[in-house]
Amino acid sequence: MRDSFDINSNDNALFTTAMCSNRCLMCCQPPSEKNDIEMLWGKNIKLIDTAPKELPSIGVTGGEPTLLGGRFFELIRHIRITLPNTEVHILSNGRAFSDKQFTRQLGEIGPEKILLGIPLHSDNQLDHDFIAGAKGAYTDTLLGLYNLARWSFDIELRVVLTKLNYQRLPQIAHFIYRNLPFVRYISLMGLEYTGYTIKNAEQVWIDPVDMAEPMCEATLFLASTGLDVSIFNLSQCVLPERIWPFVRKSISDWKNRFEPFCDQCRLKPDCCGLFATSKKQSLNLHPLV
Amino acid sequence: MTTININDDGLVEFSIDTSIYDEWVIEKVLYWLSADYIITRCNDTNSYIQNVTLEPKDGHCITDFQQLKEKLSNDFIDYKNRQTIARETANIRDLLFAKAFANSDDFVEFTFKD
Amino acid sequence: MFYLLPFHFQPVGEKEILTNDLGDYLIIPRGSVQRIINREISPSEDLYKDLLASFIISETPVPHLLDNMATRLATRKSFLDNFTALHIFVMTLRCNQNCIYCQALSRDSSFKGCDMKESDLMTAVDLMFRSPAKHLTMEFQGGEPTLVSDLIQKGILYAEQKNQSECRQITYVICSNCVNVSNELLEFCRQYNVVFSTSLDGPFYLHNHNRGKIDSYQKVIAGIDKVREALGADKVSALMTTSEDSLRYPREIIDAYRENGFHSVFLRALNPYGLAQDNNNWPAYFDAFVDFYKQALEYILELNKQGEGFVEEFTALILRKILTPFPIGFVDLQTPAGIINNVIVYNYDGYVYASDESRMLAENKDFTFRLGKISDKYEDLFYGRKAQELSRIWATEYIAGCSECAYQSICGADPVRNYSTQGDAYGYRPDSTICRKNKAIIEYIFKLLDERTEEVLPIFMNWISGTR
Repeated sequence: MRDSFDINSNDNALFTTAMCSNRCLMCCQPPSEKNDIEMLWGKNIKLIDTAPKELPSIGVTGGEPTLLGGRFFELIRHIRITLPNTEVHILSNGRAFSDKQFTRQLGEIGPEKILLGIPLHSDNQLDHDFIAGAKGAYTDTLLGLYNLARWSFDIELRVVLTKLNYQRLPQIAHFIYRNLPFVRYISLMGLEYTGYTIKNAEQVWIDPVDMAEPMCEATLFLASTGLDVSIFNLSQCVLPERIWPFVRKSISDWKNRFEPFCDQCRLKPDCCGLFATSKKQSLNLHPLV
Repeated sequence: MTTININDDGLVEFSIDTSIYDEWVIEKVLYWLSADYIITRCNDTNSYIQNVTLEPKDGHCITDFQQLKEKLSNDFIDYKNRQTIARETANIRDLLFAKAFANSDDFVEFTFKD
Repeated sequence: MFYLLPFHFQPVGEKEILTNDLGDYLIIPRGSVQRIINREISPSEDLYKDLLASFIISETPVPHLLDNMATRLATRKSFLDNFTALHIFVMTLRCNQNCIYCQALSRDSSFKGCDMKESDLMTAVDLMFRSPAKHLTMEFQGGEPTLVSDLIQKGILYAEQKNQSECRQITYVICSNCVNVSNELLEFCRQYNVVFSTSLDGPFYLHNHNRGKIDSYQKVIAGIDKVREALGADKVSALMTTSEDSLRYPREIIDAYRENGFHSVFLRALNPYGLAQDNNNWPAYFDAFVDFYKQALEYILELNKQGEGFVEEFTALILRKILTPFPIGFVDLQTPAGIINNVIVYNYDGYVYASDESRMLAENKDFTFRLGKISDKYEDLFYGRKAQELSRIWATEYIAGCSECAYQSICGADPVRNYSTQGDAYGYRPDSTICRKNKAIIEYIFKLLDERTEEVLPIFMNWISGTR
């Protein structure tokens, strides 16, 4: 965490709490039970107050920021007033928005310049709840997504690719089109080998090259529906060429690195790079010459 | 259902155990045959058995009796399944349509826009 | 343990097609429904997850996602919110062609007393604006509407004037044989962005034969070229009708469309209305039509695989209902039916009819679907006694033969067609030719999606996104 925001960084985020209502098996930032809301509050307000007015975007993250309850809205409202031109990117599991009254409070602040990044782990509740480590997570998140759509919020639907869901990616893609055609962006995200992923590696880790086929099918189907689909945190060298057009250069600048052999790669300038925080990478990384 | 026979007059005859297949199922199955056959039905007074006769209408002849038998046996099973589904889900379906067509929720009205 | 949600199924060969009101579908092995009902599917099976994700089963008696399901159902039915979008103005019954299979019983161009009165036209435009639809289509039909081109212009000018305050999106369409369109009308159409819809049955020998003429093809092609030159290549669309003779020429018809610069075709079966009613073996015709359709579709898929984007419009409509969560605006595949809900006809005779077919019945002195006079009140026409009577029989969800059908949300209800072919608006499905045809086509499309997914899905998705 930083003491101040850097206008040139692509990762200016407010860490609101380490607590979470989910226990995702591949969580890169394992949650704590300790109530840290009060402790982090003052610092976050100060970060907002001292941020440059032209700051293009600000993240609101955790943990699960909606656990702040009423203070969550206070925080968003404060950003809205202090930094009226800044895009707010909230990362949430969306569960709290299953409550219509809770969603109403965000709705009343207004959907302008707010993007909610919400993960969907599967097309079915068994897999989603298992991956999220919480019973009822799937239902809450899906109700939440609809409630947010009622208030016209922009939603970035995030599918974190793991060994537990990659086989059903085509079904997940169809499910998204049928049930969530209102989402603004769909992000298919490679795993960061850190946090719980290390602990649960046996269950969740899969080398990206091994999910090439369902990845292709899902990505190309979503693209054919007209939805805006992107692939994050995965480099071209581990993906089939057919889906390279969807790969985004995405990893936050401060945790991005490359392998020495990447210097030989002709696609390095367009590559998202590797998580410096990952303790393990795909065994199939290679330069494309 | 008992054996399906074709008698000397060219009529198709079979009996239905109405304790297995009730009126709903029988009607739905026979409905689809009513374009090609004149259908007569008669309840056996002392049992659950209903006797059914199919008489081919003018211009229609039973080209494939085996096919008709297979169709009948499949249709009875399928319509009984449809009945089970309809029975078990009638309340949910009513609720679903009522919600979908309700004029306004306590919330913002919402449908997907293409 | 799980609970059932409302769904329907149809066995097809070794498979079962499961569908629900929301538009989900699954194609799974024969016998699966029995296993579902007997609760023999275990959570460890992929099928269990498919059933959950497709809202066929629920782990709770009342599904937790009921609100989401209701939103999806409301989306599927949202064509009702827009109410009548297509407003057909039958400007005259006169025609300068008089084709043998004419469905509208046209009169010779010199015939008197079958043009729409100007006062009726203006009142009809007023009625059109009473519809809540944001997007209105004002379609001029005949006879040959260009014979009264001054009336068309008056109608459009009046609509434009009213739209200054109404601010709707209006699409103007002239359904014309394109044989004798004046330069003056074309200039007007260019100015107001009017598009043309014409009729092209296929290659010259077929087109001319269907019309009992020797030069109809040359005339219509010349007309299409003239309209294109004036308005732009994409401003003319063509409709084909599959006569009995056409059934032998699936490829030739599509090639004729391609040669004439079209990128799509709507394979349309004969309507048993008007003069076309003389055909006497309709079941045989419709069976042959389905074969024709399959051959044509196969050829079109072949073209697409070779990189030529060419769409079969009827398939695209069915696909939109199968593959997307959205409704369509096509009148013939709606439940509740498209009549009144999606389409209304203001006829030259001063009356309002429930659909195009309804006014054709009226030419045979059958006024069953006449809703009232153009001068009547909007409420009495659109919500009157006739409309209410029709509403009791206009949804596949509750009419005999359709209420258990697995294709009920893909197909549509059509009381007018039932009436004109079977003498009864409720209809009788066991010998309904439209049921037979639609069932066969829908089933075939499901089969393609199931058995040739990789090959057809990208093509089909392309069609859907090109036809919204």
